[in-house]
Amino acid sequence: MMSDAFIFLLCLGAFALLLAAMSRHQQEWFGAKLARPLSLSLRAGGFGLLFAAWLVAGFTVGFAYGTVVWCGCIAVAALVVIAVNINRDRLLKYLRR
Amino acid sequence: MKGAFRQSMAWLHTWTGLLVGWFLFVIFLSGTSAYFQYEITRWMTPEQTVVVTSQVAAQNAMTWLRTNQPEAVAWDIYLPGKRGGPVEVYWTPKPEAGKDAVRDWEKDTVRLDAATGQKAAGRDTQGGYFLYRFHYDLHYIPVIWARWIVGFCAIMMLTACITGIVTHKKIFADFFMLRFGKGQRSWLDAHNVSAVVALPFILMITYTGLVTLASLYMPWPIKASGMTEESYYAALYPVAPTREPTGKPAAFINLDKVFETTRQRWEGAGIAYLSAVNPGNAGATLTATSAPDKRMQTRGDSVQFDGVTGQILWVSPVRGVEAKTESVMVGLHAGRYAGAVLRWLYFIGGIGGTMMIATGLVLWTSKRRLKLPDPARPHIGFKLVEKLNIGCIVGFPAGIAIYFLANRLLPLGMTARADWEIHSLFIAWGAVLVWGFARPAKRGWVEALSVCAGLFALVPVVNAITTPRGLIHSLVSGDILFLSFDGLMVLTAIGFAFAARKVARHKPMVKAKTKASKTQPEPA
Amino acid sequence: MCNSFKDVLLPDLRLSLTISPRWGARCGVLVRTFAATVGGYGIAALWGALLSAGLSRFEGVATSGAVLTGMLSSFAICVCVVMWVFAARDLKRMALGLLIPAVLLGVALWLLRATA
Repeated sequence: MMSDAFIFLLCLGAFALLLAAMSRHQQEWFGAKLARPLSLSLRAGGFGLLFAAWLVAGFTVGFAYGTVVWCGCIAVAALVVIAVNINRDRLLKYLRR
Repeated sequence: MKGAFRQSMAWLHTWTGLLVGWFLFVIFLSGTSAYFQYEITRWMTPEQTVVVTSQVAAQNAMTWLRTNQPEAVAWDIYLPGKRGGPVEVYWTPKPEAGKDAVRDWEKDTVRLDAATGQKAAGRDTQGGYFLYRFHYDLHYIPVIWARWIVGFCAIMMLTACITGIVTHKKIFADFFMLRFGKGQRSWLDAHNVSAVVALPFILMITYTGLVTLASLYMPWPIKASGMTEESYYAALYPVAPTREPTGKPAAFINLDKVFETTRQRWEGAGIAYLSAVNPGNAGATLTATSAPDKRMQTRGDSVQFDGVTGQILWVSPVRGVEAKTESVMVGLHAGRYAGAVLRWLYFIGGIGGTMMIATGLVLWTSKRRLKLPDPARPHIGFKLVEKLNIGCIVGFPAGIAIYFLANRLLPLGMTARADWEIHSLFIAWGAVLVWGFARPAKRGWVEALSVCAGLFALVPVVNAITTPRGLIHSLVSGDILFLSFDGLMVLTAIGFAFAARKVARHKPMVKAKTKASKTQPEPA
Repeated sequence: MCNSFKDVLLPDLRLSLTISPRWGARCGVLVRTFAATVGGYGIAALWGALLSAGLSRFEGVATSGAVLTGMLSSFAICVCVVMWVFAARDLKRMALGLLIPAVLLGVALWLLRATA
């Protein structure tokens, strides 16, 4: 249970980084585009986290079972990030208040 | 050329999707619910409150057989797994002299309460098992037809998936660019999001689904290899050799020893199936087959014991790499090995697939509505698709809600009660279908969705009224299964209500003039 | 979507000059649907049979294993064939693209069976 939660959080972080690495979303979320090297390292960090999540899954519950869990976590994490991104305006307004 | 290729793939995606979409929706939804088939069965048999280990269940079943069928020449016990459920017991009666022993699979069987070892008390129901079988055997038609239909749908699904990927490569690139907008755009977004997010699951589940029934769909490789079907199955699923009974009676072995030995051999996996031949005789044998709840390989391993001394007589041979692959593929499909978290992930994947199909079907109409010469008076084909969408996407879930309600409401002593639970599902489904055809499309959607939401909301209420295991009781006693089930029903109801509200508020992008003139005669 | 596909299917019209383009496109779709069903399943079956008969010749490959390899991979072939049938620029290409692999697979299978 704990390891599942950890794998999921890693995937969530990974997609958040991947999102932040895209210039279009940088504009929307931060109000300005980030420097290219920074974007690239964000992207690398995102993929790195995904890989780390897979490793964690493999070493905690075995690589066969872990890979399936990892696939599932990726899907749900992506869904969460998309949902957050869609409701960006509402969320930002709420945060600014 | 490249543009033409994409166009033809887009065309193929649209039409294969539409052709089998309704079937796929039903197959996906019932299959998704089947990931919780044992939990559903337990909810549908609320009288049975205790879950015992398969070892206790086996002992109880053995006691029942010893008492009630001591003369039988064979006993077979199908054990519940960790997730509960009844024990199914079969026997072969002792034949009259000079005749062969024959088992009547309909009559020589009983369903026992695993905890008490007595005939299962309470309501007669198929529970989650029905939804599981409906997933590939459908209902009211011969199973072989059903499996061919489901297989055809699966290959079309695979085609629709691949052509979808080819056509819409871009949605992978701008994965996060998706925005929910208005009208067609938002349906497209919903279709894209569910497709991309659930894609690994969908591709896996569709291909492995074909694999589960591969020898039915593709028997030609067997013929080409020079094997007969019998020799092929014998090679792939070897059966323990039989042993003639001796004249002497002898006490049957203690099952504890069998459980102990197999647990060690199978890295902790339990026993799914026990088969005793000539029990009570000195020549008795007992074969145990492993449960699929621990390993991804779903095909069980077997060990045959001497039924008196407990000595191991035979062990099923180690599988070759191809057989292992097949076993893992089927295992991945059925997900019996999955623990609680992974089971929910499977469930979410299934819901994602179902949503993808549903949004795809709706997309077909919403894309075309704008291009119609007169959107208020669509042609017959368009109307048909629209109505079938309502009847299927809302009708089948409504039927499932009615299936659960019927389980609680039909009188307990009713004859053919289990069958009538199932009939109720189809009657409700049919009613929604007819309703959809009878009403103008938009109203049909809103009404059907609202009714469906109401039905799902009723399930926990009716459960609380008709059984002592209502929501409050579950909360107090910490009954996770009933809490989750009732909670999921409420969530589903909210989902349908949300959809109903969305559709009701949705203003189709139709020329204002036509709209005003055409829709006014309808009562508000 | 239907309209755009008519453009793709226009070359088919050469086979049916006397009927309207709309019906020509529809005929093309009908022919292709039939070809996809029969061709898709047929070539997949031939592929499965060939793999099954061929692989079991190798030492160390169980016959049942060879059968499974053919069986499990055949569905992927089926999808590829269906896609080809609808992707081919005209019916002649489509038919050739079906017949050539079918004949090749068939001959190979026949040779294997004959030398068994």
